[in-house]
Amino acid sequence: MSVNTDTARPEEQISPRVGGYRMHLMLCAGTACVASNSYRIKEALEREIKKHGLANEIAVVMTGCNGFCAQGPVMVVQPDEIFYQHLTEKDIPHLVEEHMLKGRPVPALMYTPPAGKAAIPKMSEIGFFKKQRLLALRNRGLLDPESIDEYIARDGYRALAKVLTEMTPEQVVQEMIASGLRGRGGGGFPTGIKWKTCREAPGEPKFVVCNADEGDPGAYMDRSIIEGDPHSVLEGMAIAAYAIGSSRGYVYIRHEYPLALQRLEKAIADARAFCLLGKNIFERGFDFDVKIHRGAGAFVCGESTALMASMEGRPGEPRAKYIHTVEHGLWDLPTNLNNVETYANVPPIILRGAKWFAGIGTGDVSENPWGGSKGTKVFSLVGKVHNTGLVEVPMGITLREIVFDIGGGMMKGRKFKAVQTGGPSGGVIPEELLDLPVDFDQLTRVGSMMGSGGMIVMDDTDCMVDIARYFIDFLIGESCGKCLPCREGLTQINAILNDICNGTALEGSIELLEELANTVKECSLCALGGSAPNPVLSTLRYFRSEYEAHVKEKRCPAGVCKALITYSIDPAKCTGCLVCKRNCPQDAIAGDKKVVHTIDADKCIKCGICRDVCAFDAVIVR
Amino acid sequence: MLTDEAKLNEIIEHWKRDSSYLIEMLQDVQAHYRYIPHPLARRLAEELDVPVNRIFHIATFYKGFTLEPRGKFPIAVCTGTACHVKGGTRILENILRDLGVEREGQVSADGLFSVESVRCVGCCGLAPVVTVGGDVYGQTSSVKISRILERVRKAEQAH
Ligand SMILES: Cc1cc2nc3c(=O)[nH]c(=O)nc-3n(C[C@H](O)[C@H](O)[C@H](O)COP(=O)(O)O)c2cc1C
Ligand code: FES
Repeated sequence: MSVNTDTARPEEQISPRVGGYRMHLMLCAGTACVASNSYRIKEALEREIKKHGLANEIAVVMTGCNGFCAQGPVMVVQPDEIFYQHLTEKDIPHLVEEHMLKGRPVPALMYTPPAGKAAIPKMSEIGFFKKQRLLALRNRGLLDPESIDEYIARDGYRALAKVLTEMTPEQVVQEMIASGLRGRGGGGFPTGIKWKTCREAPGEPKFVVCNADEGDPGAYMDRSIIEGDPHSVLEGMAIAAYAIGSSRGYVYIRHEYPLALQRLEKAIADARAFCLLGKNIFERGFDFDVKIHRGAGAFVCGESTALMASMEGRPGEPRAKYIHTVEHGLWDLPTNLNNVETYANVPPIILRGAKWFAGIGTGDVSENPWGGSKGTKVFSLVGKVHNTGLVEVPMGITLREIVFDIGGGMMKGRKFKAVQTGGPSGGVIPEELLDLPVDFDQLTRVGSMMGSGGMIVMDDTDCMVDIARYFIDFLIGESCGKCLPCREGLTQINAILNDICNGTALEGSIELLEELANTVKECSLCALGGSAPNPVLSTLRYFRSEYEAHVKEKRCPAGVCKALITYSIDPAKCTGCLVCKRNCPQDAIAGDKKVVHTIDADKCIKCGICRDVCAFDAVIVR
Repeated sequence: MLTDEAKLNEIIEHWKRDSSYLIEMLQDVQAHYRYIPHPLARRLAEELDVPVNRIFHIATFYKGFTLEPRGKFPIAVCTGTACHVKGGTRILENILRDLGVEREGQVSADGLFSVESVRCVGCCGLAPVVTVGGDVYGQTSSVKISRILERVRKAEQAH
């Protein structure tokens, strides 16, 4: 059964694309595929299409991120949904001639599952896509993000028209509360409740702000939504503005996302030209316009009060949480802040109704908006799985399904160790908990959190102490330094973790670490410090023995911590090919052609290059 | 390195002298000069009538700003979580050694490169990721990057 976008659910059915072409080549132009040269593929495609005189029959469309980034550049041929991957310029003449001219799809360019033999032609039958359900990414790969016409052709701005012509602001707020939508930026606060509070807060004017700072390293959901479907975010913001009584919107976006910025700017200009932003929208006396603020690179600026400080042109330092931004936000006026993905979910909720949305996911939100997790969540599934990329899944799906069915299992046949969710504020989840249904409350219960949607899969070559240290090191750099527990506490935690990784930690370090982590958690000013110890606490909770091996046996079981490992060559596997010897920057490898190589431990600096280049997996790290 | 003030004036006028856009102005300065030159920071403070320490507070608070020039081809090594678990941090160490520089931000002796770590460039599905002079290289490795740097060096010498 195909549950990707169409056949299974009529309510989510795709309307046919505009234009009279017999075939559309939907080529991905997300940042990852652009990095893999998709614009050159486009030129090659157009050249070949023209050569065969097919230009009137076949259109090439550059779409937003398809999600299956590891296979890029990817292309989907519509209407048959044939999925091609890893395209190179030299594949194109053959592809166009065979498939587009003669109607014979080319299996060599299709996806073949790791253990499988036969290529899978149809996108929706590939494991990676099969269990996904697209709401926030409903237009993924189906339209040109730079064309407002195509967005409108796919029901775009109909939800805005509906609220303006058929609903009062109060009804919109009620609908959002009933849908059970909770914030996708990390906190999981019910969106409808936030809108209601902001609507009722005294003070004029009010602001609607979209958080596109996406500071979580290892996650790129928001970027992909803005790059792939910028109008869905603008439409969600306009609906929010109508509901709370605001006419001014801002998007706060990371400056590291140039493509997203460019597409957003175009979307805003187009929406203005179509009078979907600006004055008197749909002639209902509703004014709303959106401006862009570029962030300058600070994780803490994703936090609501820091973000607003930054928008006022100041350093992004948070303030105490008891003053709420819905009442005292930007310029001390009522401000509604939501995440990109949250806004992208709003139009379908309005069009299809709160009931439909609340029918997807876990728990029951009819009495209590915190009573469950509704709808879907977009995750950035990365790390040591086969199929890395962006996935949107219904709440309540298990981690096992995400990692093994969608992710296609572990790379290189390694053993699953843990999956990290929630970014620097989250934690690791071990193998025993793989059957956990993914929702806000379950993830928090096991010591991690939903966060914005980063999901990093780790195998037995990832050291959990190193991972904890990695996040603490990140957070030290990102702590604004205003409050002492976070500023000093994290530095001390880092010192202990360094000792553990270097094999110089004393007995009792682990207990000290635990105590300090709990103190920082309790006493910090903002949520950055309050959640910063989570990576330490959760790795301690599930992988304490790994910490103990470092402290007591001076051993890093995963083979990561440099001070505790040595590199050597497995004589049984080494073929004497000289590749490692040639690439070693230290001349630490001895050996001749067809003679087993050896590593001189005194010269070796453990840079890992020999292991990277060895085709026979003969470099041992212990 | 050019520090002509005409460009600065242009930037200030573009943002209508509104000091709430100070961060945006500094981003434009950074983009044009590839760092925030001290004299220009002072000029900006005078023009907008804000204390100069506020400019340095901002310039040192946000990762996007540097107070010293970068190489002609700045290298950014992603050390976001996805890239970290795939060896990004190791790649960074290897590039530092390859360039013969001691710390991030330092320009190599030939003036061509400087390397910095960045936390996620948003191509996590392609980890590990390195950008060289703005070009993104995904699913890369220390060896591949060192070849790319060699190619850039050769091309520059040929100039
Ligand atoms: C340290 C820190 C970083 C955050 N980073 C982000 C971020 O990058 N993107 C985001 O949408 N929310 C982030 N948040 C959450 C925001 O403060 C806020 O809760 C969210 O944007 C509200 O939108 P939502 O209700 O739609 O999730 C962060 C919070 C903290 C404490
Ligand atoms: S973690 Fe490296 S690109 Fe995201």
